[in-house]
Amino acid sequence: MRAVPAPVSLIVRGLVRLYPSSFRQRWGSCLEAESRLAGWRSVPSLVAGALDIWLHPMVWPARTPAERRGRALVLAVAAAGVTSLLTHVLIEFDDPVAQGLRHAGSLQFSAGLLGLGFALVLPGPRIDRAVIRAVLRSCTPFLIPALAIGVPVVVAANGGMTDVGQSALRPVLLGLWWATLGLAAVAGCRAFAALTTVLRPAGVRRARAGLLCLIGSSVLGAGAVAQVAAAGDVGGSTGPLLSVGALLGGAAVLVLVLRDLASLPGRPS
Amino acid sequence: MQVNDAQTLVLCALAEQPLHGYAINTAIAELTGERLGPGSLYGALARLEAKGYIESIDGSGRQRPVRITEAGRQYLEQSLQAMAKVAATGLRNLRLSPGSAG
Repeated sequence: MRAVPAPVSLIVRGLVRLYPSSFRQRWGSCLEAESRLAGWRSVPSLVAGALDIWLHPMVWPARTPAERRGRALVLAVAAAGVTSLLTHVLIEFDDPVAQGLRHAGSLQFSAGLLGLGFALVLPGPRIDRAVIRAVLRSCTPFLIPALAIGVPVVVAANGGMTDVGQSALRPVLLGLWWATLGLAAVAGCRAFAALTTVLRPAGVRRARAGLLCLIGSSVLGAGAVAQVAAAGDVGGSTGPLLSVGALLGGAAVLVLVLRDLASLPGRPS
Repeated sequence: MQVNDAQTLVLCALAEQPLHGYAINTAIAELTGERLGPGSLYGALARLEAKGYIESIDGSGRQRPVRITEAGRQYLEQSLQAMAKVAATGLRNLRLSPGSAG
């Protein structure tokens, strides 16, 4: 067997680490050995494979069908939450579109569907001390900085600094506000992931209904943004275009999850 | 399902005997003339295991042999028969006999 150059080994090891932990535990050493032998030619396949596996958490090795389903729903919540947050950030900096969307009924319906979708994919109702401890342990590292930044920003905006809307501090406060929401979103996703490990994830029917709501919300949201942007004067602004792209990208990820949920029986391995 | 689909090729390789990842890829290379990329091979193995079409058997060290299950065997048979029907029709329409093409 021929010697493998050291740079190839290093790069292969780094790329194998891009795969999810449960996948590495099951297939990691074989994947690494095979990739080393293939040399540089293995790099595109390793990168594409890692992306593919992250987008299909239901195929990761699991002990129970519920574990597979729980992972898939974590991806769904993260995709819907992140694209929704990103859309709001992009729209916030585009005043004409933001004004137009405040009165768009379809966007309010989309927000309602988003809430219903999140409610449907939530794990079972049993909440005890162990559950609360697990959730706090996973989300506290992000929740505390979010509160530390967010509370002073809200106080500054609503209390002591009444002219904040016109002041030079506005971009700074807006930036901090969105950083707060970003941290809160990460904390929310981690809390949801923790819940799925200690509680039983939503059943297949409820999960499907929730995913359909989340997909509907993303598509409706994209339609509302596109409609308002097309009707208003937003020449040269990329915010609405990026928002529509983010929402449709999120919807595509949700469709992948829905398809996996339908095609994989969720067997233990 | 297509004839060059990674999952079909893996099942074909495992139909004869249990193999580990490297040996599966060697069998695929003998069949098609080229090895699967490592990402494609192990992605296919993970999917087949999730569907219950393959399962692990005890192995030593880094070698993790897998074997085809009864469900996997049935699925492969159905897929190959469907492909054989398409191939036979195509060859007949081209006025070629099986084995004379390529």
